[in-house]
This record gives sequence, C-alpha cells and structure tokens, in this order.
Amino acid sequence: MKKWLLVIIAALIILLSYSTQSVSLLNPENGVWQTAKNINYTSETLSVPGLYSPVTVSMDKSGVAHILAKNDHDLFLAQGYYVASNRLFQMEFQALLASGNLSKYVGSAAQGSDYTMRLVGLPYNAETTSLFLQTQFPSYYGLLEDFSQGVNDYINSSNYVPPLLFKLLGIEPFYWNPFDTLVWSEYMSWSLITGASDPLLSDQFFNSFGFNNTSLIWPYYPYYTENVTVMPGDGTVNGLNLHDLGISPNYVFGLNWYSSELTGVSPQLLGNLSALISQALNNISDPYGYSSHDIGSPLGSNSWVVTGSRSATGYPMLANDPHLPLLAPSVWVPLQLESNDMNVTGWALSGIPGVLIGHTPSTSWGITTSEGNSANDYLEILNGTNYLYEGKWLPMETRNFALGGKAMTIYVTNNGPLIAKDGNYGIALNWYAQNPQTSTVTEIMLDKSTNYSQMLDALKYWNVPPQNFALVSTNETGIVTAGSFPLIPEDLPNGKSLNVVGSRSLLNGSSGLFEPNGTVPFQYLPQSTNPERGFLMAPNQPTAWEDYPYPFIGGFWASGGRAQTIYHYLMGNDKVSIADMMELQSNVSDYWALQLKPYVVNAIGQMSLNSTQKEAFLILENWNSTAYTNSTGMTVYWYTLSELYNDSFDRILKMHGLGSSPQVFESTLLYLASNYQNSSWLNFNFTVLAQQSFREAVALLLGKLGQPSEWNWGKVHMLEIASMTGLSEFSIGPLPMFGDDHTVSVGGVPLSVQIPEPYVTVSSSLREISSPATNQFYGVFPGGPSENVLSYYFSNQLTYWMEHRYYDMSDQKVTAVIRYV
Amino acid sequence: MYETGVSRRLETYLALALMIISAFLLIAYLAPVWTAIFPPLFILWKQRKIWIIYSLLVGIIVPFLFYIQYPVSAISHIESIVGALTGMGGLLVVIVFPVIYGVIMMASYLFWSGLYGIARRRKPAAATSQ
Repeated sequence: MKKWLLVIIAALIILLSYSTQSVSLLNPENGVWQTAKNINYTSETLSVPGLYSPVTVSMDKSGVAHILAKNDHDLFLAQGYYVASNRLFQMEFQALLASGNLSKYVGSAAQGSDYTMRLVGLPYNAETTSLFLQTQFPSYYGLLEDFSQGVNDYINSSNYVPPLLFKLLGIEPFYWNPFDTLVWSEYMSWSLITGASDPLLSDQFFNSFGFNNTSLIWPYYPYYTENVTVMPGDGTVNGLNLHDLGISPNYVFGLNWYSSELTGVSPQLLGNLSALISQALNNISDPYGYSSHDIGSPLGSNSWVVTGSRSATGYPMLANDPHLPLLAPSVWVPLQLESNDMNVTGWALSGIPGVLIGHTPSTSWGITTSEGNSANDYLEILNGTNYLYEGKWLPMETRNFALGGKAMTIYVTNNGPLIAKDGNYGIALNWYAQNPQTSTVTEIMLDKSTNYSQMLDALKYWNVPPQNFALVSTNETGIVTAGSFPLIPEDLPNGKSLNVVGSRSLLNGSSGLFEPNGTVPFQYLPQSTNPERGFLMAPNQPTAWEDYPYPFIGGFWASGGRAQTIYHYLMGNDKVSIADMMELQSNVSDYWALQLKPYVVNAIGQMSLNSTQKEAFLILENWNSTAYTNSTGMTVYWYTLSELYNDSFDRILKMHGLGSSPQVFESTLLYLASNYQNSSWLNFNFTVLAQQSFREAVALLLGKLGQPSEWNWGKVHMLEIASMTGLSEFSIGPLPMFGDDHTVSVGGVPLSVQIPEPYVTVSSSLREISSPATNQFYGVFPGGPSENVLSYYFSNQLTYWMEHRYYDMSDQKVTAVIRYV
Repeated sequence: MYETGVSRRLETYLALALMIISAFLLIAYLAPVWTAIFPPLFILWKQRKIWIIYSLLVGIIVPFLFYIQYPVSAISHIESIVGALTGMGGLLVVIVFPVIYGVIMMASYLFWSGLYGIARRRKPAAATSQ
C-alpha cells in the first residue's frame, strides 16, 4: 500500500473517531442501554459497607419495599441504599434544584431557578438547620448521616447503574450528605409556604380596588366556611378564645387590616409600591420548580378522621390524600421500615429518611397544608447597603455567590433576605424557616410512635411548613395544626393589644413594632381530639373560626368546597366503614357547582335557545354536579363558568394588571350571585352575564368538539404526570382525568377558555386509609418505586390510582428478597 | 503441506478469535467508539482482501451481540426516547454504534495491515545495505 494512502486512512480514522465521540453514549454495554439492566427486582445478595448486621429488603408485588434491619443505623443506611438504587437522579436533581445549583446539571436554563432558591434562602436555611441538629439532636442527625452513607455506598458499589438521564447529560453523581436531605426538606417547605406571595397579591388587590371591594371578593375567611373549620366550634382552643382576652371577633375582623395603624405602612405609600411588589412576586416565582407559586392551581390536600363512635368497626379511621404536583417519578417512595424499635409503613419523600405519611401497627397519621402565614413580608427603607431600623442605619448582611460566571449578592436585613429592591425601598421576606428546623425529628418520632400521646409529643417539634396532622391510634382520634406561626404584635385602635397570625399587607420593617414576638404556643394551636360529632376534616379550609385567640389575619385558605363535601358526607353517615372512606376519597362531586347551578340554570332558562343550546341546557339542568370523565354536564358547566370568569373577574383583574393572580373563588361568585346580582364584579347583571357565558361556551364547544353528546369531560380535561426535567419522553399522559379543583378526588386546573384545558398537573399524590385497631391499612399512589422509565415499577400503581382502587398494605405477596450484607 | 495448511487455518482462527474477543472486551469495559482501532492489530499480517470484510463484519456484529441481554421492549423504549431527544430515527439509535464501530475497525485494519506491509517490504532492503 502506498504511504500517502496510509496517511489518508489514518486521517480518516482520526476524523471518524473524533466526530463520533457522542456515539459512545450508545455503546450497547455501558451506554444508555445499560438502563435496561435495572428494570426488575430480583432476589440477590449485595455487599453494602457499613452495616452492623445483614438487612433484608423484601419487594412485594405492589412495589413496596419492606426493609428489615436489626437496628436504626442499619435501617436508615439500607433506606439510603435502596432509595438511591431506585431514585438517584431524582434525589440529586432535587437537591441541586433546592440548593440553587441546578444550572450545574442543565446549564443556563436553570439560572433563574438557582437565583430564586438562593434569594429565598433555602441553602442558607439548610446550613443553619444542619449545624443546629448536629449539636442539639445528634442522634437524629446521625440517622441523616446513616441515610447518606447508604446513598454513597450505592454510588460506590459495583451494582451501581447510572440513571438514564445521567448518561444522557453526561454527568456523574455527587456524594450525598445530610445537607442535601435538609435542603430538599426546605424546598418542600417553600413549596407549601403561606405568607410570602399572598400579602403582596393582597396589596395589589387593595391598591387596585380599595378595602371594601377587596374584602368583598377576598374576605378574611372564605364565604360559607363557618361550620366546616378544622377545629369545630367558634375558635375556642383549650379553653381560650378572643372573648376571654376582652376582644370581640366581630371587632377584629371588622378592622381594615391594610390600614397604617395595623401595618405601619400608609395606603398612600403602598399605592406607590406596585412596581416593587410586582418585582418581589416575580423574583420569588421559581421558573424551574414546582412550588405552589408557579402552578395554576394552588396545592391542597384532604384528610379526615372518624372516631370509634361513628365508625362501623367501632374504632378510629383516617383518610389522607396530599395534593402535590404529580411527577414522574413520584416524589414518594412506598416503604416499610422495621428495626428493633420501629415498624412503620407508608410513603417517604425520596432523599429524606424515614416515612413522612403512614402508619405503625398502632398509630397512623396524614398531612394537609394548613395555610395561615409562616412568613411575612416587610417593607424596608434603604440607603445604599444600609437599612433603617428603629431610627438607625444598619449595614445589611450580604450573601455572595457566582452564577453563570456572574458575581451575585443578596442583601439581608434583620427581617430576612431582600426579595425586591427599588430605589430606597425594599421588601424583606421573614420566613420561620430561617430559624433551625426540627421537622425531621418529628418525622422519626412519628415513625416510632406507639400511641396517641407520643404522636402529640412528636408534633411539638414540627415547625415549618405548618401542617394539619390527622392522627388516629387504636382508640383516639384528632387533628392538630402543628407548626410555627409567627405572631405579629398589634395595638388595636380600641387601645387593646393582640398577637395575630400573618398579615394582609406589607408590614413596616423599620419600626420594629411589627416584628414577630414568638409563635403560637403548642397548646393553643388549632386542634381537636376525640370530637363529639365523631369526625374531623382538614382539606385546607380555615383551621379555626373567628373567636380563635390568635386571629388568622393572613389565613389565605382554600375555598372550602372539598371541606363541604366531606362534611356533608360524614354528617349523613352514622356508621362510616372503610368502604365509605374509600368512596369519599373517590368522590368527584363539585360542591360549589351544586350550589351555583341553580343560579346559572335559572338565568339560562330565561333566554331563547337554539337547538344545540337547548340540548346543552338540558344536559346542564340534569347534571348531578359530578366530574366523571364521561360527564357532559361537567363540560357545559365548566365552560360556562370559564366564559363567565373570562367576561367578568378575569377581565377586570387583567384591566388592573392582575391577570396572573389567583382566580376569585367560586364561593365568592356564589355569594355575589345570591346577594349582589348587580355587583360591578358581575358586570352589573348576573343573569345577562350567565346567559352570554352560556352562549359563548356552547359556540366554543360546538366548534371544537361537535355535538353536545361528544362533550365528555375526559376529552377536555386531561392529566399529565410530568418529568421534573421537563422532557416529555419521561412523562406520563395525557390521560382523561376526572374531578376539578373542588372535588375530593381532585383534578384542578384554572378556569380557562381553551379546549382542551391546560393539563391537570396537581392531584392526590397518594391515598391513604388506615384503621390501626382493626389492622386495616390501604394505600395507592400514581407511580411506582423506580425512576427507570423502562421498568414496570416506574408506574405500577397508576392504574389502581386512576380507578380509585387500593392496595392492602399489610397483605402483599413478596416477589423478591434482596439481602444487604 | 498438510500440517502447514492446518497451522495456517489455526492461526487464522486464532487471529479472528483474538480480534472478536478484544472487540468484546473493549466494548464491555471502555465506552468510546474509537477503541475499534485496536482489535485489527491481531490480524495486521493478514493481507487478503477478505479480511477487510471480516473486520467490518466483526466490528458490526460484536456490538449487536450485546443487545441480546436486553428485553426487546426495553430496547424499543430507549430507542424511542433517545431518538426523540436526539432527533435520530429510532432504528438509527440501535445501529449507529455497531456501524461506526465496524467502519472504524475496517479502516483500522487497512491502516495496520498497510503499515505492516510497508514494514515488511523495508526489512530486506535494510539487510542488503548492510
């Protein structure tokens, strides 16, 4: 062969090898195909360094791992190993997202998110908590370390199979440590925060519409919630109420809580701060994350408990379904953790040791968001890098970091980080999570609980985010709104002083007068044990009524539609069975639709109708207010309501630049329709508005879906279980979806005039029904234990979830036994 | 004559086996596609044109054999995911590595055998000059 030919061949080889480097990703042994090796659980023995004794992991056919160890060290180490072997990408993605480092994985697309996470302080708060737990709760911190060791053992093991997305992104895992657990815990708290954006939105409403109009559409307590509070009664808790303090609830809730006397900020000044407020709202809106601030439908959840006297078995029962963004994979990992001093089964958050929601043989608990401010926003007066506090200029603390090669600085006052700055004014976020958190201690204590009082003891350590804990033991029943609600001291116009929870508005941060002076003591948190009426429920409605001794000025609760359905169902059922609990959890009846329909039908009945309108009207008239996927009545109602909102509330809000704010509650529409049909919010004539909306809805549906018989709810209302990466290849759906915002089995989307509706992304992230005394434990969640999209266990429970069926969590066949030695 | 034929055949089989085994090991333990440069070193003294085809076929078939360990459904799923993410046609995702591996092996064989041929031609010339 000629030399020149050799040179050409050599050059070709080099060129080909160089230009096809990325093809190495497709190496059939250790490229992306490797993911196909990890799709099933098989019985095997694995070497796991650091264990004191062998651990057994029994996989049952529903995908629940039963981890049996001889001691807690081995148990949490094994949990770390098991979770990492199933969810490593998710864990690391979440930890990077929460710590403001996600751009290291996905580049500049995540820089906005990284900035927000650092701005609101998640990594700094996690560091604070980490140091605190190390010194004050070393044994609990030790469990976080055990968990971390398990994760890292997996990364180092020969059994390690890189997740597909690691392969595709060309990245290596980082080693886990307790900070990563704590920062993800912070993120979950952030996603459930109340009081960060709410007072700012409330101020924007006040600036646009004034006190009376704002109060009309956004009252301190949502309309019609008096009888359905979490804690039954007038708000008296453990013998204490507002009246005892010599203050009338009517007086407190008759005050203008936007006034300068109660906020330290004058309405005139507030009126000039719209740009600053918008900037703050924008800055704390995470463009990459899944917190409640960035989802059309606010997060919510359901829970209720039934006492032995009202249950068919004679023993307490509990139901819980937390509503979270449904992700693929789910944030939950189903587990049983058993050692010499604990035996808990339920759902763990991936990346966080222990079981967060679940049961022991004698106790069970569930969680819903309680709303009620755990944060407050303060207006700061600035001069360069100084802020004014009690008449003195003090230097702001700085947090410096680099993002995308740019140096960044976050300024912090005594109230917290500045989330917006405009000229000489800034807004500081004061969030209780800036203090050391002990919520992980609560979680482990609950996991070890054997009776009701131990559960109550555990809740004393829960601080952020405040949550309604539904509790049952073998013979006791209760709900406690646990957590740290900062108390704002207020000097009322009548000369009395009062500590309140939260605010409707920015508070003056310069005077020091409105700074939190403690939190609601545990004994006076909203709570009820063994209620006389035989049940309690906590689906995000007001926790306590107006006589509560620490008035919730910043309540910002849900409308209470789900609470109404649960309340009426349980009130109408003297002896509730497990089957009833399941039926209620699958209920897709919209309470507000049931109440509103007569007004809408009455209005439409007064107009002349063409044949299609007549058919649609009959469908609506005969509709029973349920949102099954085959319901056509739901579709007619929904689009009529969407058009109505589009023509009234949403139009008015858009005119004032508030188009992206949460939609006005349907309970408010009901209140106006039944009391103020000529309100300016209803274009001065509800009947005309409803008729026009119906005409528009029918025209829209006819144009897009054909004849009314084709207008099935499932055609326009669909579920997407998205991947956190945003890649549709790793997502599930769209699938026809039942429910709406107000159905117990929720499938919420904002009211919008588009076909199909935006995909449902928030729903029951798990469903739990427990009765420890009768050893009945049922559960299901819309996913599986594995994050491997190729595995059956990626979404093995989804079908049951969609069909509202359950797995018996105490009786599943073991399909594989994995031994860690 | 007979013995020589047998030993040649044995030598040929051995060379082929070594090429196949080295390709297997390189694919199994080293990800990069350019490792296909090395297996033809075991056949560099083979000068017949058929070895060009052999090296190409071995380079294509050996990577394909690795797919046997995976369920067809898993291959199809990965194929569709990677295909969608990269914009490649689904089947291309499966065949691109084996084909490129084979082409590099073939080219490498040409290079190594060419180099070997030149080296062999140079040896007698060097002896004469002495």
